[in-house]
Amino acid sequence: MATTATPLPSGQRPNIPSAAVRFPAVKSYEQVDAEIAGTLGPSLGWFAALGVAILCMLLGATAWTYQIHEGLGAAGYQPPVMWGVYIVTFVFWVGIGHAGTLISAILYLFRAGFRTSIYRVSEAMTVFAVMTAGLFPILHLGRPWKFFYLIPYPNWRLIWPNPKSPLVWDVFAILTYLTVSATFFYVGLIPDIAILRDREKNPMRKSILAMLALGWRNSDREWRHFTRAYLFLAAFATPLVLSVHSVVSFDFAMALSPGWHATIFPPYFVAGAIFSGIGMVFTIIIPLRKVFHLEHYITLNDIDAAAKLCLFTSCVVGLAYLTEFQVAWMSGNRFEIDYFWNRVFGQWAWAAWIMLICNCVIPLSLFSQKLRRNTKWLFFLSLTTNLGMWFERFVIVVPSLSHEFEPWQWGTYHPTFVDYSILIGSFGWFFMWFLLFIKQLPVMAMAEIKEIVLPRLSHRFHAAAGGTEEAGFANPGLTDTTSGGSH
Amino acid sequence: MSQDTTKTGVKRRDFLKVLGASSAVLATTACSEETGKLIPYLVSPDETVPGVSTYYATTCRECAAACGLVAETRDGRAIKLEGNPNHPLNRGALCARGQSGLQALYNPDRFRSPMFRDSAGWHATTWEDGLARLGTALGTAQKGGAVFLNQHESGSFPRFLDSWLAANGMPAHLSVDFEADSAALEANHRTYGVAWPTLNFKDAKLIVSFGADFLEGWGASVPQQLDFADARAKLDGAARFWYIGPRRSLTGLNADEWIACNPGSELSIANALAGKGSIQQAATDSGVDPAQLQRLASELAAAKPALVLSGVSGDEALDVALAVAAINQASGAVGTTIKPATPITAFDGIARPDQVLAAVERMRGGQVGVAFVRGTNPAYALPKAANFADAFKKVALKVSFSSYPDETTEMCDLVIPDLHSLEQWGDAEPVRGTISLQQPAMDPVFSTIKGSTGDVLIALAKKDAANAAKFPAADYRTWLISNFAGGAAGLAAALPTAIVAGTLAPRAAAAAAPAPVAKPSAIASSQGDLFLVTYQSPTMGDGRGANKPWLQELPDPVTKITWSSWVEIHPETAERLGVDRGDIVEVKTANGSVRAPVYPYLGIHKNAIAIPMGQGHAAGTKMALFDPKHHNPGDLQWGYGRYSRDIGVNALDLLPVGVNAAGGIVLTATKASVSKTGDSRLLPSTEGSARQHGREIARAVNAADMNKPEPEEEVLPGDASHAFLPGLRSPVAADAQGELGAPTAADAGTHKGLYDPNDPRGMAKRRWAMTIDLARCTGCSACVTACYAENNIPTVGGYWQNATIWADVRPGFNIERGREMNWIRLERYFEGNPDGKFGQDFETRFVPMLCQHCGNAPCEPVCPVYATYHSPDGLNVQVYNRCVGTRYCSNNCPYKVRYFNWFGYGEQDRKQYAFPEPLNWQLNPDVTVRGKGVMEKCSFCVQRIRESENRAAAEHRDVQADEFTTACAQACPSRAITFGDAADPNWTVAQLAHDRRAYHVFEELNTYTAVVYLKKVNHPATGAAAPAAN
Amino acid sequence: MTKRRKWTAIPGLIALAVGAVMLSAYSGASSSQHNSPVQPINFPHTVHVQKLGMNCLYCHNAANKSMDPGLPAVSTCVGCHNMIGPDRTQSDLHGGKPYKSEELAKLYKYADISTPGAGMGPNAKPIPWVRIHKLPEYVHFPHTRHVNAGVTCQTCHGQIQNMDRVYQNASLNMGWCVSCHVNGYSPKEGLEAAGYSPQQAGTPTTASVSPAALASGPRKKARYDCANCHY
Repeated sequence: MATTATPLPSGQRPNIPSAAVRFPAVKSYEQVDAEIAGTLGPSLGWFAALGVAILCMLLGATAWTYQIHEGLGAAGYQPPVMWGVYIVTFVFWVGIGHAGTLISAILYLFRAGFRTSIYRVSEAMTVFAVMTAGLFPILHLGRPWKFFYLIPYPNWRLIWPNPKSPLVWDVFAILTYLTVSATFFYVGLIPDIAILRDREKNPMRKSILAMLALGWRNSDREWRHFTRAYLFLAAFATPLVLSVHSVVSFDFAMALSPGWHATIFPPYFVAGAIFSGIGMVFTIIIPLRKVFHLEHYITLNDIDAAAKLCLFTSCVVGLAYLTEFQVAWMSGNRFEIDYFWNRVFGQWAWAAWIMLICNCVIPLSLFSQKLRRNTKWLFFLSLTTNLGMWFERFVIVVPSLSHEFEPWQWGTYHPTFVDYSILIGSFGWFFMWFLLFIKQLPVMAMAEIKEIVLPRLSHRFHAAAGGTEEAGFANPGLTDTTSGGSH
Repeated sequence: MSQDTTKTGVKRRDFLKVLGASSAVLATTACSEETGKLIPYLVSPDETVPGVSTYYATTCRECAAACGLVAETRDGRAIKLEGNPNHPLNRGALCARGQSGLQALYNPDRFRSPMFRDSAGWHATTWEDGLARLGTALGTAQKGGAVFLNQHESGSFPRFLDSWLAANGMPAHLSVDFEADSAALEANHRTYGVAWPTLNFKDAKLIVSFGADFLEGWGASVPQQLDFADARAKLDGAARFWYIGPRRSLTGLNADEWIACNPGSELSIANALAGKGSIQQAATDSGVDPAQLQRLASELAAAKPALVLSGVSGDEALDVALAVAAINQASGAVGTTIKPATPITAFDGIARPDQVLAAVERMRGGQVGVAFVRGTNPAYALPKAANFADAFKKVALKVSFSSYPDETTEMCDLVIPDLHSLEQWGDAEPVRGTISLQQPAMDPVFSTIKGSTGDVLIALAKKDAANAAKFPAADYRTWLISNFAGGAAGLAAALPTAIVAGTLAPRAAAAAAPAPVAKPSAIASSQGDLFLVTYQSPTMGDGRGANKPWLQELPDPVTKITWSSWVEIHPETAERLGVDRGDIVEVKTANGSVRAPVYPYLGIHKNAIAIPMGQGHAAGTKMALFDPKHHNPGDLQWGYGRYSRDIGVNALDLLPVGVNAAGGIVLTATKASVSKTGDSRLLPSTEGSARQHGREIARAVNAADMNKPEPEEEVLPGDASHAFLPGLRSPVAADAQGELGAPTAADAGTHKGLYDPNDPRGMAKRRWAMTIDLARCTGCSACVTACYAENNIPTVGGYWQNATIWADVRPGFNIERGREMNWIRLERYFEGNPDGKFGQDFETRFVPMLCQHCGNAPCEPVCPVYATYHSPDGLNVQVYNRCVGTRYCSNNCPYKVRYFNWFGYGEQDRKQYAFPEPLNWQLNPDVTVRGKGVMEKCSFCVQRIRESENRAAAEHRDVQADEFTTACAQACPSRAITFGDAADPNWTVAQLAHDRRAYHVFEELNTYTAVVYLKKVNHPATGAAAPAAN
Repeated sequence: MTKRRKWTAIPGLIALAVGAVMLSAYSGASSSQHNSPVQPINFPHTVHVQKLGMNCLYCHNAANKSMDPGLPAVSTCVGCHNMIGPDRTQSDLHGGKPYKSEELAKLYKYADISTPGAGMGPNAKPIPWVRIHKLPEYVHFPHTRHVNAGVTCQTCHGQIQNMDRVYQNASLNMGWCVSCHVNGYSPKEGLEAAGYSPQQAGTPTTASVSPAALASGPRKKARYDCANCHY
């Protein structure tokens, strides 16, 4: 992804070791094309998986239809617990949606090499996760058919949404995030789509790919614009990673309820989001590299690096938990103290302990490098992380509401099959999109990988270059014309 | 909704059934192109204006007391019942049961027409045919030993009935009231020569009650409550109140001290106090600390006059009542706190229950050829042991005049439904020398029912030549007029207030009391280790309330349980038995057994259990899951109607037929054994935690400390101002006007618009507010029902009002889930005795909790669509049609007073519809019926505010101080609630808000509430440890 | 180049979509403006108001004291038309010539009047008028407030006195209500809306002041927060 005609004198580039170091098993451009584009052919197992996903989605859709017809009472709401599984799951999915942009944008700006092989998948995950999260604010409404009241548009009632309400901020935050991450995702895809277009035989698919490739001809000029655009989008997306989940956290932090009303929420939520995001990345990547035989692209080094990030965010989250308790304890505020005591020793203790163990205890194992490089353990850990993070949101939403200011109105909460069906449905919806993606588009950025693969060259030139692959880049004029391009 | 009543009530009977265009009330979601038709009157009734209420003064018949009513009607339908301010008894107030009269009137289970039964079952028939059948049946019947059981009512009807029975050669009727305290009546007769003297609480120096629940059904509860509240509101030097009994009822919870005595030991305590026995003896009998009895004795000796009341329902009830009478006479109560000179005559002529039992025995003996039942339900209200059913079956001809199905009617041969008291003429003499008239507020709901029982009897009399002469009157109304001093003109003149001086001719002396049925000495004969206390539920009475959803939904004032029966067990005993809240236990006595969930209750003796009466009505013929869409109104809901179906147990199944010396049925003199069944259920209760956890929601102050200055509390920077200033002079109003309204705002007055105090439209000059005096509130919950009636609040406890798929079909399910919709609720907090030990006394605080209409409301900023916002006159408004249902406002409300429509309770086509025809006739046209998925809450009766503003504008004047009030304040029988404009010092509320006891709930949250509470005032025993006062 | 132009079409399409949404929003959604159904009897407001100079309040007698305007009872019609029958030998309104009226015949059928002067018969039925002006049930519109404030009926209902068949004149949208509450009601405009000019003598008005004085009055603003109408 060179942006200048004059290469660095040494031929080395900051933080991006060559393929020899990153992917010893990857030798040539053709191999990259073959192996990665080769994953696209649908298989029986894939159809089965897709079928399951769609069934789950239909289950959720049916449950929602029933809920709309019957009224929200069909779900398990039990005043004063006016928010439940839906909001919990909403925050959960928004959180998942964070790792993608973090990996693709922030790590890109920091030139963190290990992103190369996993950023496409996590970006896709981001887009689909946000698409899933976006359903819930509508889905949990008492009158979903009136959701457009939340959208500011000139109307004959002469009234507008309430700019003071965090829920309105949500609408903007989510929509912005969806737009930007989708654009970023698409822009990054263009060169690869072009590759697919050129490999494609079927004229129908070819024309579609052609349209999507926006007529990418892989010219030098296009690359110059492309890299600029990509850089710009990365810079543009980076603050969103922080802002979006801060805004989501305002839904709670702006309210009075003990357990919600805390200034620590924005950073705490962002850390939690990234933590859960990485967790989900593992959940997806680890089976993927196995099934698609991509172990030599998604190497243990990459996974190790990601695991470190996971460990770090887990520690941040743990710190946030402790801080909450300490603040409550030192506040001398009767309501806060009661609530936090109730959180760990009250009726909801079980949920709180699931949260603490999954998010703060188990990840500590990642201090050991052996476990960081043990995919089986990481996969298990990713599952506990998802569970723990779901329960973190549960612990924030439900116990706070069930144990508020008015003792007379203290209550409890029992979700019904409708809540659970819609929860399952959201996973179905997410994986449906994801499965469709992995068979239509390359799960890895071929172009970016080729950048660091040494192009095959004539022996004479090879010798002159000093014979080592490292030295391959020493040849001026080579980088900018051919790097990334497949022809 | 002003109080003025209209000139005359006679013309209204010319109403056309066709309604004016104004009565349409639909769900918020309804906004269709379908505009429909406009149907005019043929002849417009001259005293009504479409869309404007007409008020008719009449008399309440929901219990024997005969309070005064003002029925508000709109376009020919009664939509609200309020107390008649001119009535000597209730003086404008009205209890929950009285207000629920509307749901008897519009009860969906009412008989649509006369019914008769043959081998094939029940058949509806025409009015004429029904009368004909009755006529022929009577012709052949053997009338000698006829029995007519009539719901006791004061007035001329009993006399008329006797004359009719006599004319047909039948003995006088029995005037039945199973709620009456026979022992008290008998004792009053013997000591004062009247059935019920006026009780004057105000002059009493000490009030002692032996199980007399004068706030909840013992005697005329509404006037007693008014007087009791006044007496206690004196604050300084108010009378202390002792309650003696095994169970602490609502009345007991209002007492300063509770003597938890063994059931049946009241007599020895009374004797000790009367000086006829020793304190020591009493202490050993009752298991009470002698020191406490000693204190009571000395206080009683010092208090002249005292007011001692007896409502014991045990074996020796009469002896206790007489002993108490002696105490009263000794303390000079007669003439001062007990006034036989101005008796309450409403209870005159109530038949002794043993007379009813004797009649039952005669039926069993086959000596009864004809039996009539009107308004009473012995098949339910007599102990099962009396075996009424078998006896009744032996009667050849059984006729019922009941308006809706009940257990007794189900056994009859013929039903000629009576009109509801709001549809017929009548009169009553509640207190001697005052007649309270009863006039129809509207035409009969069902035109197929063409007359009251009075009319029917006259029609029958006209049929045979012999009697025709005796009953010249065309119908009962003309008979009434002919007997009314002043005749038609006088009646017409009296109707606007429905109160007129005069006395009614008494009915000929009722049949002499027969020898009482042999009385088994119940306690001795019964086995079991716990005393069984059965008591009349404050809401259900003797069971007649059970078919009214408002009363089923109204949480029991003591236990806060709805749509259910329960067994009260003391926590200690519960622990011993290894049962906990909600565990189903089996209660066994010699006479039977019932299964009901446990409610651990501090206020029950540890050797006793208590079960309320009124539930457990016969299931009747099962109907498929009730569904308004597919329900045929003709389907009879046998048993006691759909609202009482499958609910709880009948405590009377456990009782032997014990009769005390006064002929009253013995309720608390048997023992029971309790065993756990293993299964349990979630109680449909509105109670979260019964303790305040030091959150100072309900505050109290000791009378002694009241004049001490408040301790100076240090003010931390950023704290809310703790000084309450009402109206525009306060931070409250500044916030109420929004940032722009703050007087300090830079652009004050320039961009405030409506919120500018100087805006010509002038709304911002007002600040609607409310004060609630906890020293007056007794927790009776009349305000709750008033709110349901005024604001079209749906009841959600019906067993069909749940989702469809995999949903429990159980009465009260939605309330188990905390989904009740009571815009105003009564929180009942216990203070003291934290670990529930028996013998330690505890204090109870009732807090009516409603939307606080915060000046700085947490719910407002979080609503994404402005569905809730602050109006310039200080209301926190909920706009139903704008609400999308995010429920964020409720999450952010510290008071948790916002309620959500989980189902389409207000949508006619939904199975959860809360107002099945004709119940929806009661809906208030001024208030939107909420659809599913929207939030709702107390609106401070904004419709009443607008209505008075409109009236004032039409009369080109301003709204006068105290010109109107909210429904809850209007109904409150202890006058605890005051509503008005806190910004205008002329309103009472503005003055009360400055009371030394005034405080806001959760003041520290800077919500600047518009509801100001006045601290409860405690009267701890001198020397005794004072309960926590905060 | 051609490729380029293809892609530049996209923003155009999006813009169109957005425009459509806004348009639909502005169109006032559920308004049934200009709706003019056929009535069971084609009641001629023109004759009664213009020729006979009857006041609206004669028939809509509750308009100044209730939320409802009030709908004339059949007896109100019969009050006059008991005498003024469907088939008259001479009609003042028609220069003393004989006059037949099917509409009055219909009225006689509804009111069950056999011959003029007979009065309403036993089988009289109310006339099922078709409703034209209808607000959703969650809106409370007090006619009394507006009439007593001097708002002319025509301001909202249009010049009924000139309508051969009554139609819905205003959109009755919330925006329509609010704009008047915010900007205020001008007596002058109200008078003109009613089809009268301030100068015109003997203009019938609901207030007791002279038209000229009325017209010179200031704009009357009303409160416009939600709870004024929604509760």
